[in-house]
Amino acid sequence: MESELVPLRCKRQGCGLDFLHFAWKVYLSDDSVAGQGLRLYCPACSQDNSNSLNDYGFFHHERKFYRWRSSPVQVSTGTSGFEVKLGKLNLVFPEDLIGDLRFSKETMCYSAIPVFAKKGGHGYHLPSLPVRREFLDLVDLSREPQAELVDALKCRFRFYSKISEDVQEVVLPLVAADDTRDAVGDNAIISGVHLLLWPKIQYKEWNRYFIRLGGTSDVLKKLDNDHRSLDVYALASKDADSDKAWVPVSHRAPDGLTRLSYLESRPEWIAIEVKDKSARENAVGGGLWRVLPATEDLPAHTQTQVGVDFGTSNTCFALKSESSQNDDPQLLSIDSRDERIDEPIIDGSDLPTKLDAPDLWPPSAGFGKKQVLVPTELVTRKTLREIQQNPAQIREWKPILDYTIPTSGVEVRFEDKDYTIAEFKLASMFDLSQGAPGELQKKYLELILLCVMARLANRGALRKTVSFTFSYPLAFDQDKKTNFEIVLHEVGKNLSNPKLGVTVSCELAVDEARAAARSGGHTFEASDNAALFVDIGGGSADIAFLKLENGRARGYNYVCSFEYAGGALAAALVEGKGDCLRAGTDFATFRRKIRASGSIRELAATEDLFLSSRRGTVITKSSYFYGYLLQFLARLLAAHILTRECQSQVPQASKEIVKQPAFNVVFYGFGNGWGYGDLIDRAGRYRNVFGELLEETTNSILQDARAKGITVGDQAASDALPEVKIKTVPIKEPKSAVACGLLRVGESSSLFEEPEWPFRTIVGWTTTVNLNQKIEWYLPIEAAARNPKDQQPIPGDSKLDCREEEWPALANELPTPQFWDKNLDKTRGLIEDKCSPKGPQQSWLQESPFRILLEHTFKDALKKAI
Amino acid sequence: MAKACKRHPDLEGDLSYAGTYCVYCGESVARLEIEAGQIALAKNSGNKKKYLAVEYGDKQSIVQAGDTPDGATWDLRLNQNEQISIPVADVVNALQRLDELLILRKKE
Repeated sequence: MESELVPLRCKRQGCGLDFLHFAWKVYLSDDSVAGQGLRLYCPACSQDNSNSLNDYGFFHHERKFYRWRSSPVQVSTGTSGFEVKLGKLNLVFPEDLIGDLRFSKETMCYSAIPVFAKKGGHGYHLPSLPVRREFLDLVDLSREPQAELVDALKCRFRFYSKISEDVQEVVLPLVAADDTRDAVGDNAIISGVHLLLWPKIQYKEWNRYFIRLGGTSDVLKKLDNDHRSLDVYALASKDADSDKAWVPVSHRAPDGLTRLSYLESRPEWIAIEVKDKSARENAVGGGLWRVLPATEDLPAHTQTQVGVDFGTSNTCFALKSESSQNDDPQLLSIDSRDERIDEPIIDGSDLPTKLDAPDLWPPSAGFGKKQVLVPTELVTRKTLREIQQNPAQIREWKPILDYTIPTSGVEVRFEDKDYTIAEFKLASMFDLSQGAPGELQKKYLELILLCVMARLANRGALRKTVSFTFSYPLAFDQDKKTNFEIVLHEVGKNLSNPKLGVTVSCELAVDEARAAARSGGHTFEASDNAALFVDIGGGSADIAFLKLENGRARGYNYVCSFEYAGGALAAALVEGKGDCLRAGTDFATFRRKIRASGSIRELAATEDLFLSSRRGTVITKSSYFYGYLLQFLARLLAAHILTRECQSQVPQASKEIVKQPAFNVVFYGFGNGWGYGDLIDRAGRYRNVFGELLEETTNSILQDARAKGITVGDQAASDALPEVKIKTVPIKEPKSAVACGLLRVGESSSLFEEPEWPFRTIVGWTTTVNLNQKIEWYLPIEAAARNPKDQQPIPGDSKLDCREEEWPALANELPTPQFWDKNLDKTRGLIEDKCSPKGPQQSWLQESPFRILLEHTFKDALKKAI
Repeated sequence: MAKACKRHPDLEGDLSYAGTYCVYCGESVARLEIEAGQIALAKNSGNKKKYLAVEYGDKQSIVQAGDTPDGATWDLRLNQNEQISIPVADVVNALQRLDELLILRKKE
């Protein structure tokens, strides 16, 4: 026997000592395991040798030695371990260095094979290999393995191992779907299980993947219960710093059955193991499913540009067609009926459509008619009450393990308000001491931008350089804006992959008001004098007033923003004393239903949401909401006329236009916040109604000015003031304006001229300063808080007041601020704090008192019983 | 009983350890020297000193000097001022076998 053994030589050139000639008993230890196998130093030259024992029928795997059952080398058991005699050399292996001394191809494989049925019974999913995951690297994967079902009772596999030239053929029984019966007939095939990889992408640079093993609960319960366990593993790197290993897909979804995993590399194999808890250790049923490697490189020749309208209630995305950059941008629809974004490795069931617990898988479908809206909400694993107890945990959250974003197309049967975090754009419901909204924004944006990139990659529209352009509401104060910029920077950094050359940038381009105004498709007539863009979102209303000349844009007169928007009205309708909803509907359900149906009008046509006894209240609250905003807009337009700004924008040669009796304003009502107008005008024409009321109210104010003989500067109002004419533009896709407008930033057009000021508005409500100075409502306010020409400066920290009886009067149906807040006791402090000039450089109001009335007095009033 | 180095276990062989380095850790345990015209393995903790005469070209030769430029081969200068190179492994093998004579063939 000895003569048949090949030498075990020192590998040093010129040495070649054969260890088998030495009659030593060498005691092996952990230190004796290295590289290819056994470490022996040469006694002649000190070479550190790492020798494979394959030639002797042994192999080394994961720091253990295995002996093939067919090995010619005998093993005896001694007091110190297992003695292996190779020539004269006697190797003594301690027990913990030996994996198996009678290893065979059967030992290498699972004892039974799980076979899964495809959806609808159209075939089976067999594993690619029957090999236990710990022995996968013994398989020669350069030669394709084969698997087939034999008589629906057994599985036959043929594969090659690296340690033997012969094909390995094994025939193995199947895992029973229900282990109380034999694995025959229907019970030999497991139905209703899915194994999904998200996303379905072929780019090598992509490095975020999610895995899900789920299915019908009765099937999963038969595989995973008191006497049987179901385990799933993925061969991948868990994160950027780890090597590839078998990562357990062990995170249980809130339903307690579905398994989830988050990986920062593409998995190569997935193992599914079913183990009888009472059986011996190696009696494990299982199989390995191969995930084909990504083969394509992300194109680098252009960059992907996406406009993001990160709204308070909903977010949407716009992009241009790469083939035709001149086309108008289009909103990205998220519709998995047309475009499935996850890759089924086992396709035995669909994602659940009836949810009894939060499902943390990435959203598969957007909301609204065209499925372009994604809720600006997080669905969480834990209840909000649990999160509240330790809000710091949010920083550690991972997508799909701890949170996701709501999807449409599912029936929610749990209390989703307990698991939904909303409205984190402007504030946080959690106290994280610092940056709480920022943490939630970051988690949300990282996941949703990843979803968008996955969808674009799936369509072949993703490039190595990706640019997400955002806007911000002017209602953001400087701190909020700065924090948001930090969030965007971090999100871009986290989504980038510098090692693979993928760069993702997230940048703030412009305020929401001007982004909406850029949205394109506007055609003005020569007779149009101005365009008024009013974007009412969920959290802020953003207003841009654009001057026109001969049908062309000539810059902005006013840009302003209020935290007074659709969300405030929605909350007023469903919360507090004025709750108008039928029993059983909470705020979260209300919001979800509106999103799902696309509009209030659509929803109201199919479902009677409100108590019939509160129908009047619903209309009154809605009328107040739009009414107060309308009052501001009418004052803005009237101020523009009254102060003769409308003349200053017209060249001397064209002043004839102003002498015309009409000042023509084109009115655009963007944003989903206009949708609540359907509660007032069921015909769905509320924007037109609003336009008509705006025209009427503006002209009424101007008429009052004429009647009162108001003089502004050196001109009296009795001089010909033009009448305002409003032309309301129909809006097909109200939510598209900001996202689409952001893609036009940088285009060369006079429409996009940037005024130097970050906002310009009007006082709005005549304000007294220290009881003796009156600041008229029509005077302008800019960010620099410089007093306008001919106006006395306002001392810092002045006492400010907005009196009830001041002109112009509110419309008859609208109660005054003092009706809601007697003597403005609650609001006045805010007006003084927010509006008074601060610092030596300021000598004028730094913010509009009307804004404070809207954001506090009127907004709070909506919630009161009306 | 064969001993490699002080830090490692006995090798439990039938013969004493003739290596110059420990098989477990590569540490130097004994030196090869030239003594009285023979190759000598210096005494270490477990061994007596061993000698190996050299026969070269069918004649016993006196080894005058030796050097290991690369650690794996040994350059020997013999009595007729002849220079030869031999693998150190051959020397260790011979000593391990308790040979008293290392027979070296002249190259044709």
